[in-house]
Amino acid sequence: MIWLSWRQHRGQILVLAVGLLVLGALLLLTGRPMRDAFADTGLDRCLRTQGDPAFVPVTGEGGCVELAEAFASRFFNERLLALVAFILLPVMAGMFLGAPVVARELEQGTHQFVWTQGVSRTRWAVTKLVMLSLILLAVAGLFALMVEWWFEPLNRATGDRFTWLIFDQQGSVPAGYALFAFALGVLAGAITRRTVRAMGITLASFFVVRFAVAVWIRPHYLGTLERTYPLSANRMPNPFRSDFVIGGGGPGIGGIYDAAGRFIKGGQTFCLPPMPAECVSEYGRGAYNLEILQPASRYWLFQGIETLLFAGVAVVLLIGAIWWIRRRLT
Amino acid sequence: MQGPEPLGRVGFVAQDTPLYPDFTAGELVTLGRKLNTGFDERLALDRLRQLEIPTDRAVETLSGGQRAQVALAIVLAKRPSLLLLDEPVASLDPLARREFLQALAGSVAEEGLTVVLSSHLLADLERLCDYLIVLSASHVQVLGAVDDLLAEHKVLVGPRRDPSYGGVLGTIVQEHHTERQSTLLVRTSEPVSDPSWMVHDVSLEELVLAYLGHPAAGALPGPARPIDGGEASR
Repeated sequence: MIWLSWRQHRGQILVLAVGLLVLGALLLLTGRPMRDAFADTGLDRCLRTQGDPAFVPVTGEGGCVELAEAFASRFFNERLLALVAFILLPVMAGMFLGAPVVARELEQGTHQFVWTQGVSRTRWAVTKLVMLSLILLAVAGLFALMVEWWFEPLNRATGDRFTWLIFDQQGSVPAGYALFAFALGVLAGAITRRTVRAMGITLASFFVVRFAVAVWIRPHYLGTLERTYPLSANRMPNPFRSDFVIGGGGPGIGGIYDAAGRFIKGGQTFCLPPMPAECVSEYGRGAYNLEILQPASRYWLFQGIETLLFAGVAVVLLIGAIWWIRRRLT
Repeated sequence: MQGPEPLGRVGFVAQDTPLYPDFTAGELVTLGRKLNTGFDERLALDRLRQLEIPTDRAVETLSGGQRAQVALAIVLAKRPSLLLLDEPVASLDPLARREFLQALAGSVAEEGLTVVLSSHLLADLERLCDYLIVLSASHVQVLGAVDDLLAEHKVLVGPRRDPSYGGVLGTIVQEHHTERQSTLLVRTSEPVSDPSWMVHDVSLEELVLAYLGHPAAGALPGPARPIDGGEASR
């Protein structure tokens, strides 16, 4: 069965391997100058010297801020391109590796050939799905290492790797997404019996689930923390700490409050001291910011939770697919 | 068919003999060896060599007849005791059809396996099958050993009779009357004694068509003896 799985899917596996190599080359080519610039401009040293305090003093020169902003704007395009490209990669595993596994057999009628050899459908399905899942995990693991290396200077320069769309493209979660997409493709292919239809369903439902989890579930893996700080002071929150500040306005959600604790509006504002008159007139003396956040220290914990969540759902979907193959396909 | 146990003893070739189009015949034989215990790889490769079917080209480049032969070679190498064929020759040209059925008949003679095959090609059935089941609107309409069916059906041709004529023993399956002549297909185990009838043997094709054309006639021949295998040939 392993021989057959390999023989049948070697083309797709080859494409995966070549894709990984090409991506690796691209990341190496763009990542090297980025890392060099990170060190050569002194940004690396500046951030190391500053350490990782929760609040930093507000100084006119801005500490590492100027260096960091220059670096971020210099590599803005690379970062944007990577974020857009990487959001699409995991779902490819579902569309091109997962969807055809059962659907193409049914389309070609070859299920009648292979399921009447001396191997039960269950073994056929388990061997194939386990093998392809392991290969996918290996590829996703290598991808994760490369991306981690590539994103590191950008993460540190922007202080932003925990927020929406950026958290999702690095760490271990892409592996969970890929496995989930693969399982989705297999199940959709078994139910619809059509590869193209299964690809469409995979694409749509993948992004629906991803969106729902990212927006409504992820912020609540653990209880949120609150942080308050004055609108104008000598210290401000450290912009290089990758806290996940959960935005949105509305009472109790985070925003600007007046001295009496009444909600004024959403978002955060910081007025450089001494507090300018328009800041006083708009919010009144004693107004403060309230942030609802997941602290940067929970980044890897959240990565792990989300990876396991998607991988767990993937396993359930794959078991569902095997059940469907056994019971519902004739 | 859930466990591997019955799967190993039953061979099945689906309609249009689906095979992985990008596999070579050699790889399909390897597949058979990897997925079946007791698979006779030698037998399959020998068959392909005798038929001069290349084992190193993707089967999608082979003709339909060659693909059917590849499928047959693989299923026979499983050494099944029961072989199920679903319209195995429906899409083949007449020559490929004859070659396929010859190969099948040869294996049946050598291996002594039971073959159940479905087909619309009645002439092929007559040549190949020992036992016939005609299904009409998902009901069994004719059932019996081919030799018995042919022996107990006669075509009678003679001067015109009334349609309700009752002068022969047995059942009238089909009747056809012109101005001067009547033609009857009857099922009877008795010899026809009336000398005004010309008695002809019936071909399997005529017999099946007569029954299929008259589903309401309800003339269902019972099994001549207990059914001992299946639908078709031994």
